[in-house]
Amino acid sequence: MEKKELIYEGKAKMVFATDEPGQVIHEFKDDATAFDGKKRGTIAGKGTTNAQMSDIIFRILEKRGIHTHHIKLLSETEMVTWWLEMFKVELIVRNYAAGSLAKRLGYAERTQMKSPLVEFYYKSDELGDPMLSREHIHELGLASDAQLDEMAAIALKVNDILAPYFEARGLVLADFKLEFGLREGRIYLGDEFSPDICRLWDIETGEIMDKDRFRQDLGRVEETYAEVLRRVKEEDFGLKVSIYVSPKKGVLDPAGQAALGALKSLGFGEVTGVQIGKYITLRLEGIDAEKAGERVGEMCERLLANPIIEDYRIDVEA
Amino acid sequence: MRFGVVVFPGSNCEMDCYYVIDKVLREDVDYVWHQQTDVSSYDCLVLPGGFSYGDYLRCGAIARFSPVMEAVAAFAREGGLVIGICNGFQILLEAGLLPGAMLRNTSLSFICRFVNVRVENTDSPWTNAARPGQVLRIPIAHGEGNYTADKATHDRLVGEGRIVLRYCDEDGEPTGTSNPNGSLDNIAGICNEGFNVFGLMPHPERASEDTLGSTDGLLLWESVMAHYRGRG
Amino acid sequence: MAELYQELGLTEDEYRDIILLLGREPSKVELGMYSLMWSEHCSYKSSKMVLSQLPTRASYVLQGPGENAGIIDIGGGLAVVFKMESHNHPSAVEPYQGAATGIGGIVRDIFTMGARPIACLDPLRFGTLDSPRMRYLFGGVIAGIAGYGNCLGIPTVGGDIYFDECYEGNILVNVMCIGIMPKGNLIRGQATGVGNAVVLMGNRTGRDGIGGASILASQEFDETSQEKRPSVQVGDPFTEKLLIEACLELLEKELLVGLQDLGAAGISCACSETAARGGVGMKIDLEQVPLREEMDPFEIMISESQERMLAIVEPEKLDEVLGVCERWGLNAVVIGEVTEGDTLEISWYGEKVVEVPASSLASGPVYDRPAERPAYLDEVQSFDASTLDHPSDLNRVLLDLVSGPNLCDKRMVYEQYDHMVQLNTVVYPGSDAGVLRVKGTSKALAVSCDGNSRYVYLDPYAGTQIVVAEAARNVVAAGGVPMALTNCLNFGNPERPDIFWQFKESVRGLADAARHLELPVVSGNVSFYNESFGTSIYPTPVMGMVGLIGNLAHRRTIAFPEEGLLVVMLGDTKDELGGSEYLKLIHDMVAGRPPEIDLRMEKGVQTTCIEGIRRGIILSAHDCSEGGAAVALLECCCGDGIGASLDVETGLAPIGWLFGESQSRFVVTLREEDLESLRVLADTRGVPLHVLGRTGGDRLVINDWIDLAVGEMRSAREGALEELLKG
Repeated sequence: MEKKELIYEGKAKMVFATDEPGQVIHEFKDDATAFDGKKRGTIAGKGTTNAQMSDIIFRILEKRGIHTHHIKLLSETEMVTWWLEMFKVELIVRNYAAGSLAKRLGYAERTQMKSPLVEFYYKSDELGDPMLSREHIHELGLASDAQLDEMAAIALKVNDILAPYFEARGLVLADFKLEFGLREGRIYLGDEFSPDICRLWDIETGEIMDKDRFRQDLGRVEETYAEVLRRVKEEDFGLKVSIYVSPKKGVLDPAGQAALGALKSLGFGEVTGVQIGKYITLRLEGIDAEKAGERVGEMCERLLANPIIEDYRIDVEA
Repeated sequence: MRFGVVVFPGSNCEMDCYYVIDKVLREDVDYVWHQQTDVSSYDCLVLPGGFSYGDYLRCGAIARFSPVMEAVAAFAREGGLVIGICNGFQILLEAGLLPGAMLRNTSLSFICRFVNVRVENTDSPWTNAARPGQVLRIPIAHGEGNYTADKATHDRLVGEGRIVLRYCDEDGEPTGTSNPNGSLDNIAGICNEGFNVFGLMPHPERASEDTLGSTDGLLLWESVMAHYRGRG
Repeated sequence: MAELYQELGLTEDEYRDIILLLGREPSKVELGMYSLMWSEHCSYKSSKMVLSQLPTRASYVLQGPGENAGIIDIGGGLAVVFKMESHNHPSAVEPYQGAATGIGGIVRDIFTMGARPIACLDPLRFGTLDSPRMRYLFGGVIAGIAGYGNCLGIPTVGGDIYFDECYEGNILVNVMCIGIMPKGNLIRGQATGVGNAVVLMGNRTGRDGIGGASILASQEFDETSQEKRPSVQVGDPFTEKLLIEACLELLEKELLVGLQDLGAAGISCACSETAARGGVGMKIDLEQVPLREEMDPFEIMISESQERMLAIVEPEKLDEVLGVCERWGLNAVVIGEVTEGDTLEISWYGEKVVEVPASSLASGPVYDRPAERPAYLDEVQSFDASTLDHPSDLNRVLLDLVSGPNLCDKRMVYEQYDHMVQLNTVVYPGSDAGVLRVKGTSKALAVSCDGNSRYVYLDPYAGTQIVVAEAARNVVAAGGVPMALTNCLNFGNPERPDIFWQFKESVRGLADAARHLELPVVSGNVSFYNESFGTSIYPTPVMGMVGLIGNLAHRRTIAFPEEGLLVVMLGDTKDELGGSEYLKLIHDMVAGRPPEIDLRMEKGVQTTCIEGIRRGIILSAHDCSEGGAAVALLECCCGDGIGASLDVETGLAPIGWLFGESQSRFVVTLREEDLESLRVLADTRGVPLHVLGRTGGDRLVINDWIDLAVGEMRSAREGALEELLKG
């Protein structure tokens, strides 16, 4: 794939043409802006983080049937996508009140919505991305009702997929912004999915884990972005518990005896004893290590081991 | 007399037990699905052989938590007659309704063949129709029939006469070679303290008709029927 | 796309055909489906033409080849369903799971027709037990059959095991299953009724056997075979047991329109075959398929995950069907519906990934491959046994024969199978045929499988006729009238003209024998490519014979039942040592011509025996096969431990009479007073009858040739296999 001329440069990304018809390259920058460009800065490594996170999240959404512009990750900071005719309407899904919504409705920050809210915004730097009603959208001719319905439905589906996804990773998905575009007459999800376009709060500490840290000068922005990416990349989360079930001492272990005999006849005279047991691994979520040890002990007593003939040992690994 | 044959997912001898009770003994019999919690209408419950839950984890380890097992336990506590055959015996052990546990056969192979068992105690609802020391020819078919228990339990079983059947040779001697699976003290079948719960590895339903090669298994069924009639 | 079709096992011509059929290039998923459906294993492209000559009809045949299994009417409103299949290649790669899933597959073929499976048989072929690898494969296969079959509660009541160097690189694991059902239960694997729901039941779909059919079964083994290991499916007999119970309940309650099991080529095959059979189309939403792990549509369509069934259900019955599945703890999900037309349309999250004519998948290419008589035949057939130096210690020869792996006692194998569950087995393994009673009637089924591949190697046409005759003879010895047969034809690479010639000649022999003996072939299986590094197995056609015993009292076993009975041989012994076990074991040769087979005489001897049994004249019967008369007589003595004293009058040399494997012979016992009646039966059919002697005592004495104690004979054959396995 050949990267060709720059088509467009936004605040956080550059879009390049390629030699493949219909395909472009998004290059993610480390530049960060806020408050309609009034606040500017650099978040080191953000380009890499956001490109990778977008790649992972889009692939998850694709597998669940959401059409996105994502094709593949080309390099650490570059993503190959389909070229979309973008709608000038952005959608924001709100699970909790924060930022402008809190102000607008007079809610305390972090109030939970009765049910996820979908808001439409005008994608216009000059006008400061104002919120729009459907009537405004019709007036401006930005999208038809049917298209808005479809975008809203997709947005809620994305929420259904990602809210539990982040929750499992110890993060509350408070809100997020989506941009859509058309390709061959069909609506695709475009842009990116990263801490730049959503609000994530750590479930335990309540800590802000998104671009708000940049907006509000809370510090440790780079580390936080890296942490979010780490959690997203992590395939094993939660607690892993290993249980070793072995025959009780003094109980006959015919399988062990047979193996011992076989080893000896193969010339491994140094083996004086063989015990054959079971190795069971459990994955636990939503529970701390100490409680886990207790609960797993109960599991062993009741089901996983037979205390009359078996001993067990539990290993909880965070 | 009303028999209830419990069916767990994976049981496969329930049809055989039902057939023998229905066609050979000509008694009332129902299947009892493992989700049922009311067994009050039965006089004798049968936990049949098979591979409940595929024998996954350990034989009988998962079946013992079936809803019906609480009812079976209550039934047994009140003196109800319960017989566990092969996998049924394994489930009774896992459920704690009989003491001890099962290990894999020492040969590490599944064994299906006719064996001889000696009736050790005829003073039980299950063996009163036999003579003391009588040798019965009944088939086994199992991979985990190696019964084990700690010394205290074994002593109790012996002392209280609760070892009801022992593997033996044709002449009734409980020899090493006549023990097909290595079970402790050639134990093939035991009872609980009340003698109302009986667990055995051999399959009496497979030895209840001449056509199949032996009718020695009938003695066990006839005993429990006699016991029931005697009890009024 | 080019590498993909080659990697999937399609030829360039086949690929072009697909493009012509569709009028365009196939999508990746479509290509995957064609590669499997058109593989040898699924499409029978090399064998279809040849198999068309088989006799498949009779008044009592309810279903011949073409469905999941064959079905015969046994009267009294009952039907018997049976079929044999192979799982050779997977078993050579992973013996336990290969054999286990082989059982799983054949059992599904039976209950998918509506019958409760009541027995299995397993004909197995291994290389010699000298190598640790072969001992490992042997142990794994037996354990796999036991592990799966026992858990299902289906007794394994028969089978046979042979060892020969030709199977060194390619073991054979054939499995046969028999089921019984009220005739009304018959349900076919066809989709009908536009608008009916297509329901997938059973285990979640995973990556098992991805590409198994085309990749494993249709190719020879070479150095890269070990890498193919991940393709082997892992069986879950517990789920299969639940499926059996759930499906039989659904059928009893008449809730299904069609039922099909998923085997080779998984969803691709089940959907296309049921649609094609019903002359309808199907629309499938692939995202509805419950998955074990994330998979793409290509993988889902070709996955061969086990323990899955496809049901066609009328919409108004859907809730009840799902309810039954839930009660049994089984996944059941609507994945599509039956449509008008012929198109199989499969979509993934709304996007169409497959759109092909259903019938095109199910009717792959048909080849008429070139056949050429192999060069080796002239050489081996010209062997002259009279040039041999025979050992003088005949007792020793006999003991050596029965302590060899082929003829020794197989108790250690069949005691690992629960052969008693279901309370139907009235003749246990170890006799000529397994006998299963039919509860509620006075009838019984006699079942046997046979396949002497040495004879077929020496003369594919005559050898296969012998296989058919022997299978029928075994059923007759048990007191059954042979009714129909199934088969598994195991051969090498059909693209080799010499192998294909063996195949054609073998099937010709099968067809002629079946026709002559009036035995329809109601089902069967072909396994090609049983070759490694260019060396093929002996052509091994295995027959599975099912016979009916009208009255349970007429069942017989091989054992001499009493002392003082006459021992009689029906049939003549000729001077023929070709292809015999004696020749192989003592002289290490497989040569000569197989024994002569005269089908008219065979038929006569069989009917004489059946009549003799029916009239209560014949009290025990054993057919003469490998090892000849001597081995047969030894086995009769070892049964109940009753010996015999025999005086044989013959012009043949002792070795010839004792160990020649002449066909169409039975060794029977009867009371002296019944001899004349038996003679009449034999004479009217032109069947020779020779009185050999009497049963009694604890020794087997034949002229001054053989004199062995029963104890000695038993020790020689029992425990021999355990010894060989010690290595």
